[in-house]
Amino acid sequence: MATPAQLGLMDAASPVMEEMIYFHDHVMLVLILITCLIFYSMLVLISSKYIYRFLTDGHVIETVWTVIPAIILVVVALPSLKLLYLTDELDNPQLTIKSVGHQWYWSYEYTDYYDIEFDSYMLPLGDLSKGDARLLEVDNRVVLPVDTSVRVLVTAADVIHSWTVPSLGLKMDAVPGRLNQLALQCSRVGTFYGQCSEICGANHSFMPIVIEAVPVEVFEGWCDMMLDEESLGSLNMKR
Amino acid sequence: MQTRDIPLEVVFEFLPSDDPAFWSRDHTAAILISRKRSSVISSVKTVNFQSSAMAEPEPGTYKVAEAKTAPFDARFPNTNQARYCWQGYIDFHRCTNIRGEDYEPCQYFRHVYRAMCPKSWTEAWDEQREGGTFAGRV
Repeated sequence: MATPAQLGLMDAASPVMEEMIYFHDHVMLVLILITCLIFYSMLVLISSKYIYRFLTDGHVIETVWTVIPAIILVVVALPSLKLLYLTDELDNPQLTIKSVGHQWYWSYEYTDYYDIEFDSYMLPLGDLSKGDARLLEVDNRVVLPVDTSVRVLVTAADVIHSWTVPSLGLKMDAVPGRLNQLALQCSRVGTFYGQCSEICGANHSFMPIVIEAVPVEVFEGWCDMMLDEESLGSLNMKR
Repeated sequence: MQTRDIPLEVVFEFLPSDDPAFWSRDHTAAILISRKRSSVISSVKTVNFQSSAMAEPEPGTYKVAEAKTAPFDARFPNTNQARYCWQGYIDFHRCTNIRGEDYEPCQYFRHVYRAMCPKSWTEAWDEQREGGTFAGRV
């Protein structure tokens, strides 16, 4: 999750996010080089006392400073387009989950093999434990197996929301009537936080998303617990 | 319910795999450190998802559902999969209307629409079918 005064991107937890970080670094380098070149040129020109008599009709330099920016744009555009199509690739998903946005909570459905569904409300300040993140913790997390290709179908029940998890490089609008597909793959175990990213009313800032990536056996144990009527009944959870 | 409530013996029964497929991936041992169970280190065992216990369908469920979710359908290559959900629902009911409820291949479509469709959508469509107001031709 983000730390106080953080400037850069969060650590990647998925292969796609790793590629986004590499792309970001690549473009940042290009921008810094161009900016340094411009500042240097300005400094040199302003501080010089000479005037160039043959300033007009510089055909060679005009060709050079047209071709080189075109090359720079190609150098930026090629990895950009590659990454764009990479984010759309769905690699034979092994699990499908549905994420439905409501005002103002998310509900999740795992109806592939089991019939698991639950709501995920933000924990109010009074219910937080020591060390918990304010405005980010939820009562029921999205538990997913690590290193598994998951298809997330995002939709909404009322107004437009947006399901976001920055450390996985995920953001998808939840639109009523649409089922927007996301490819999710957690490379490591951990807890990954996100927040609703489309204005949806009074509590738009208070409907976070928490993904808990666990080993496959732990995920299976969690599924068994979710299906166990007795334990669910004691927790007042909706199945 | 959080994973920290799962019994320890379930969580920490991991061994590095002898399976070459495990080591051919770029794995480093995942360190499983929990706030509530500090100083526990284990390595992640990569299990073939299809051979896991979840592949065993529960009694009463259809056999086609063995560890496979709805596959990529080239008819619906774009981001919005609503049509895939709708088509699976329609195809299942057309199939059972024509072939009967016990016809096994129809269960593929059931698996598709159960995987793809939100429950609220399928429940609403079921009510519409019962009430005779369903928009699709089944």
